[in-house]
Amino acid sequence: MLELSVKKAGELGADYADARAQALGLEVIRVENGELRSYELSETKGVGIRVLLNGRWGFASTTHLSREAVLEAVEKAIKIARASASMAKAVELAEIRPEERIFESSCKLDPADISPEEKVGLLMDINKASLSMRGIKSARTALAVRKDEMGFLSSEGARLGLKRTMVGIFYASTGFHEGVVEEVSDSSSATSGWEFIRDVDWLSKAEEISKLAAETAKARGPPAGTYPVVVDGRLVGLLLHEAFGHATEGDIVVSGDSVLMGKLGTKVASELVNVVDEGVRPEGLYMPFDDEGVLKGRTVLVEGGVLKAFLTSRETAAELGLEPTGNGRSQDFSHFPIVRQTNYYMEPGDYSLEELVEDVDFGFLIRGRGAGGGQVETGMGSFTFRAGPSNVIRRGEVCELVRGVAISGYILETLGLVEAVGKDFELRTSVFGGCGKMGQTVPVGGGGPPVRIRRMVVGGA
Amino acid sequence: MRELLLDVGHKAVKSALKAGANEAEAYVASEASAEAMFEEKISSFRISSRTGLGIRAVVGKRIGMFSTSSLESSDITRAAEMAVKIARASDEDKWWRSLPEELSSSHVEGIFDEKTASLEPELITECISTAVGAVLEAGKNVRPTRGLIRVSRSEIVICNSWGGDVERAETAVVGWVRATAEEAGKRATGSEAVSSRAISNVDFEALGREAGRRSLDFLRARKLPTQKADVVVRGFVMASLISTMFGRTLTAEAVQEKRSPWAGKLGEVVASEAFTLVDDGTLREGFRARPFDDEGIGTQRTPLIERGVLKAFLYDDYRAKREGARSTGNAWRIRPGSRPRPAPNCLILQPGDWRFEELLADTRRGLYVVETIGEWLSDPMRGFLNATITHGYLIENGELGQPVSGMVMSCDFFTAMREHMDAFCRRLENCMGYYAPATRIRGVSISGE
Repeated sequence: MLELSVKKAGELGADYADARAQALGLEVIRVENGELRSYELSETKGVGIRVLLNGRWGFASTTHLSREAVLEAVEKAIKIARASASMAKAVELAEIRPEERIFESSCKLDPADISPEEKVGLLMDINKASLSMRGIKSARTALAVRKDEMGFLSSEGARLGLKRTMVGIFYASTGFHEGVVEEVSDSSSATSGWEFIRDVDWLSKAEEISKLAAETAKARGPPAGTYPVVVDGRLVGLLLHEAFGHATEGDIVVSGDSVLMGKLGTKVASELVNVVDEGVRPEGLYMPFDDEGVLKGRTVLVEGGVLKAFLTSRETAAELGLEPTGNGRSQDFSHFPIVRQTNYYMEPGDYSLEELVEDVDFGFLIRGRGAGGGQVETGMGSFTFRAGPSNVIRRGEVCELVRGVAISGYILETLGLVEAVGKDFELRTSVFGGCGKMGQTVPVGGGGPPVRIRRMVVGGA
Repeated sequence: MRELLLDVGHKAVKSALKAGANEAEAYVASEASAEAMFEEKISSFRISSRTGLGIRAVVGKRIGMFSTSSLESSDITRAAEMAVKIARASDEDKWWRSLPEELSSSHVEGIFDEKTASLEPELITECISTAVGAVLEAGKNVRPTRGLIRVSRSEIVICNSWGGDVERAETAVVGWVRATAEEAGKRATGSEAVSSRAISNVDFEALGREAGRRSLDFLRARKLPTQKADVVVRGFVMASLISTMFGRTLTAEAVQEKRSPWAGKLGEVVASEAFTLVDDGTLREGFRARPFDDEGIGTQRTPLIERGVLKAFLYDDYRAKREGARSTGNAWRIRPGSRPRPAPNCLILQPGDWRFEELLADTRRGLYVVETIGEWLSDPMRGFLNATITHGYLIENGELGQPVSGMVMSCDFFTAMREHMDAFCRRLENCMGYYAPATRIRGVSISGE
């Protein structure tokens, strides 16, 4: 089908064409308060065709996999390239070497071979453990399995295939104290088969979150103001992805909407900061090539505080005069690839957490577990995040829990104020969600070590 | 397409019953969309067509869901068999009564538009050209740096084994543009977004003009010192706050599962008399309006908070039957194969009678909040509002003055509903189907320099 599409696009005058086929399987089971709420399985299959005609893009996709429907999609892609030509940007693609390879993520125990009864039983046990803790009023637990099979073929001769399995469990507990309710959630996922599920002590994890939710319901909010903070590795990953990572995406740079535009080769962070984007990490996302057929290796973005590279697609690489880094990604076969991060992280330093904390007279240890996420305005580099339950730091000691912690700032100012980098490194991915950009959501990985930042705006309840 | 979807739905229900289900429901969807991303020029343009069949099979009190993107006959049979297989492997749901016994459809105007449904690339290109032109006209140093227009049409059919079927067709348009202004090494942005049922109802020129003008204004923005201030929140931002604060917690699901702060408060005064919140699935041209919900029950207008008193929660059929109530027509599915759950249709904070200029004049001194980021991170359980103001204007002597940026605004939203929201403007603004007027909140904490 892919060969047929690319051949037809050539016959209709395309200078370049690529076609992607995908079969996506999702299994989601939800348990709440000791009862099975839903058991859902879904399968989606489709083909997407991208053409370049007289230097203008056209793209069409379909879930109808008949020969006629696929050929119709090719014609639509050509039609779009023609119809939008007057207003469309002229495109050049950076050269790549077309690859022919098949990749498969490690999956020792296929989740499809595990009985539904075992899956539901495990979730029931985890949910029961969540509810068993004092002060817990309600608990939700969910399992997700995602299986992707993808094929890529281009008119330049690239032929790539990928099989990837991701699994994970989500658990949330609602604590209650004197009329106050507080929900804290967490999850663990991996690019793996069912063996990951078997290897983790889920009951202890769920109990820990319940304990945290009960304590958080009793906690107070931080006083709003500007303080020195230590940000843990998990939140560094989130912060870096949102507030810095998006600004390094080549399409945002080219459009002029990045605070990092024109800053290649200049200092954008403290000299302690090193930032990398890497397609394959054992504990994170498995993305050996992107949706343009470019192999994704390791891209060093910041070295010693100096901006060394941007993430690129083939088009943005040509525009910026850089190498394609394999970051042209799409949500699925029906979306146009845009520049996205893969496993985006800060490299670890030398400090233990105790050493990071000991120099803070009064401030906060801002934690990522139970965080609500964040948002960034890439043009100005402003960001805001809702952290998870965190702690006050008083005279170098980690003290009482605080809830409702929000942080905000300007990323270049914040990265410039990094004064110590920890050695404990944490990188994560998630099967439950991902990163959203221009209406597309893709799974990503991210992480880093804990860091101490001289000052940050902390908003509180 | 309508006949095909109906045929698929009936086949799916029949196959599930044949495979051993006591009850079965089919949700069949067909969607086509056109989407273009742009800067000064169009950077990508795509057309996508997608179908989906979701089957809910019930065996005794056990429920299974399966969905597929294929509407081929053999795949329909397989999907039905899989849904039954999953149901058999599931635990009993002691609360289960039945699928909706009667499907119905309400009258809703203005949710389908022929011109929009055409998805013509030339039409979308023209809209982009208008928006881009308007940004460029804002000034020599202003240009559009990111934008998106998405136009879609969808058809949905629902049928179940109790008999009957319902069908609906909808169109939708979403537009967003960000402008960037540069001057003497300084950069500033301005963004505008719009959502509508009909492409002709969108003023793409205004979209571009507003974004461009704001980016220019904010070249001279400064940060405020930390303080308490009276804040007028733009209707668009207020609508986003309403979505965050009530979207998930005013549902019967959240109440029954003990994760709503509103549980046990029906009939209580939770806001001032000026505060009325309504869910309306029948709103003319409403962005989340539809004649029936995602399990085939007719939509309605449901007052949730009326003159400050908590009146009702949002129900789907399952949550309603659990407590002997009637569904309010609020079932939503994330995907065709997702189990329906209650969520708002068009959630509307009712307007007041203030003109915007009058409200500024009355406020005298304060802050007008135009754009925020992270407002959706506010805490709906405790009512803790927290948002970073990327674009605001000082209200000085009753008029808009100095642009300000980079502060965090926070307050206890639930207390503010009772005591500090004291003025609502006449005009409703739409943020993706959530509606609110510009609203004044007294004494908001502003964290700045």
